[in-house]
Amino acid sequence: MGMKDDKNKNTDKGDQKAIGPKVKMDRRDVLKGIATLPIFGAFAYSYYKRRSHEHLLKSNLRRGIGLSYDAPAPAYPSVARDNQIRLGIIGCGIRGTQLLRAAGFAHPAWMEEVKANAAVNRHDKRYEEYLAQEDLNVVITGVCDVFDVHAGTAMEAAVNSQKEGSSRSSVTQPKRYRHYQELIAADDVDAVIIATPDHWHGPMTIEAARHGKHVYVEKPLTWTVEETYEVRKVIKDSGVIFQLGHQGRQTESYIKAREAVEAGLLGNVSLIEVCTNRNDPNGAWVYPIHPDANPNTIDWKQFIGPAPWHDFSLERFFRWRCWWDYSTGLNGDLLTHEYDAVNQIMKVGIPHSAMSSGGIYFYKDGRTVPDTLQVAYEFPKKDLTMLYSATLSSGKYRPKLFMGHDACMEVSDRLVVTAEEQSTRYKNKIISGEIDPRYPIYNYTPGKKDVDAVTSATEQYFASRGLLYSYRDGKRVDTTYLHIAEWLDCIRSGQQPSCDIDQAFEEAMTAHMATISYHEKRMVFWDEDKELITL
Amino acid sequence: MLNIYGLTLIGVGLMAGLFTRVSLIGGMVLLAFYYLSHPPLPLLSYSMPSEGSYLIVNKTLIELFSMAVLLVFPTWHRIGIDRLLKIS
Repeated sequence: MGMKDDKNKNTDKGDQKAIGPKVKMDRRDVLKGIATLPIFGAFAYSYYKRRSHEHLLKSNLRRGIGLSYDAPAPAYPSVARDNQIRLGIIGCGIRGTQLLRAAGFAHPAWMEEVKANAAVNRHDKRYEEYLAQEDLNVVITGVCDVFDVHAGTAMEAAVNSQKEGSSRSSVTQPKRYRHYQELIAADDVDAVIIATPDHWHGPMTIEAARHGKHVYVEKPLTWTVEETYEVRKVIKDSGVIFQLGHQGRQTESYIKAREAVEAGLLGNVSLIEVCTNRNDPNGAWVYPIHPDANPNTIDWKQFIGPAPWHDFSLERFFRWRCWWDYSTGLNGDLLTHEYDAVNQIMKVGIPHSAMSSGGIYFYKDGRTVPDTLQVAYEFPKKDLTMLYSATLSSGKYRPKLFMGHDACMEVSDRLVVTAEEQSTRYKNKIISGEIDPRYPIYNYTPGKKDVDAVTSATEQYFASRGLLYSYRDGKRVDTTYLHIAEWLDCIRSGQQPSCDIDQAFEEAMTAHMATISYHEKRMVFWDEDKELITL
Repeated sequence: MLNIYGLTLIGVGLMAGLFTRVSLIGGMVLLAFYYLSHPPLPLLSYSMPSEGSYLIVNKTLIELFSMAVLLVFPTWHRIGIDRLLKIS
């Protein structure tokens, strides 16, 4: 900049000489004329100073924290997907359809819808992301659902080969099974995806593992405490590859959060707060009732299965989450996601005790499960409490909070660590001004590789959207796809996936403790030696 | 792109006192655009987070008025390159 200034001066002088004879220009004119130029020098100097100061602060902080901004390493080595895996799906409702899509079998109607949407709204990336999913080399050979319409849509999705650029050469026509046991017993099924109501998770998983079929089952693992032991035993004895459907295991910010905990950024964490906040009927499980649903199109008896008998009810069939008879309520549906994230990040295991309370305060529609629920879990061996707080009638967003003596960590699709003002670990850095407790010391936005002390409001606004997604190599990916892909790759390699049966056992017992405490209205305990829930 | 170059040229012009009148007018036009892109009308909220869209106590508008003052009370023929170029 300084050189440039000199240059300008020279040119000015040249001009002066050139026009000298015609226009009278004295020394005063020249001085006043170029008086503004030093401003550029001052501006450039202060800009440079400020940048280098910021850079120094950032690099000191980066070194001092000891946690990189690199994307986490893949959890397992990539596997050649040479041999084709033949999949069966049991339960093809809302979640089953999503799982099929994650495996590469979107329904044609959905494809058209998102394609049309992407044409008018360039922010709608669903079509693009679906096409970007890698071919997992699987075929759907069996479909089972007790509702004819759902089975039909799944059949259509299973033969859908319009995925552009797909290397799928042949289309396999799946067989529709009326009963899940027939599908599991079928010779042309290597692995099953189970996305049925909760009361069927355990029995179907047990049946599949006994037949040597690999299992991907939706959360929660089980509906009763007793079957949880059996599921674990059968899975371990049979050696099948098991994955529980907590796709949060694939979320990049959770994986980085685990690294942050391991690096000791937080100090002793005494309190973890996790939440569920929803405020719409769909979020409260008041799902639409299909017009073609009736006793002729629904195998009601099979739906009831291990549940207590009840006469045919469309509400109970489509909104089964609202009844303990088929569901595990907030505990199984949403607490499990939060708990599993905490277990992934902090490896807390099954809590020592659980105490829960709540009630049906908003959705007085005949449901038996609470719509507002709080659970306090104690982990004395870890010196911490985990609070779960949920309501289905207020949408105020609350992040997962890990509150440590040295720093507090907020986990969503991003990761933000902020030092505590009274921290022991950061005391000197706070005094020296290297750390300002008002600003994050670590701020990880997936897909972004830089230190980001204060993100702009615009970026935050977009980053906080879409918890359904994670990032790989800076690209947005559907976590469910990653979770299914991990399971399939582990089937090929023989490794254990991230949400294996041990993680699943801990998840199920933790959720059951909250449910029992809610029913009994008192604290329940986990006997670690006997592996029993006691009152 | 036009916005980026325009802003840079206007900034350089105003700091150096070069083509000050044109820079001021250009700056006012741009500021007017910025103001009008988030017009502070009732029932209208912009989808992007912004610092706010205020009717009068609005930094864009204040900046625009300051430039108008400079335009009305010109100083560029006293100090700045414009003096050398004899622009008044």
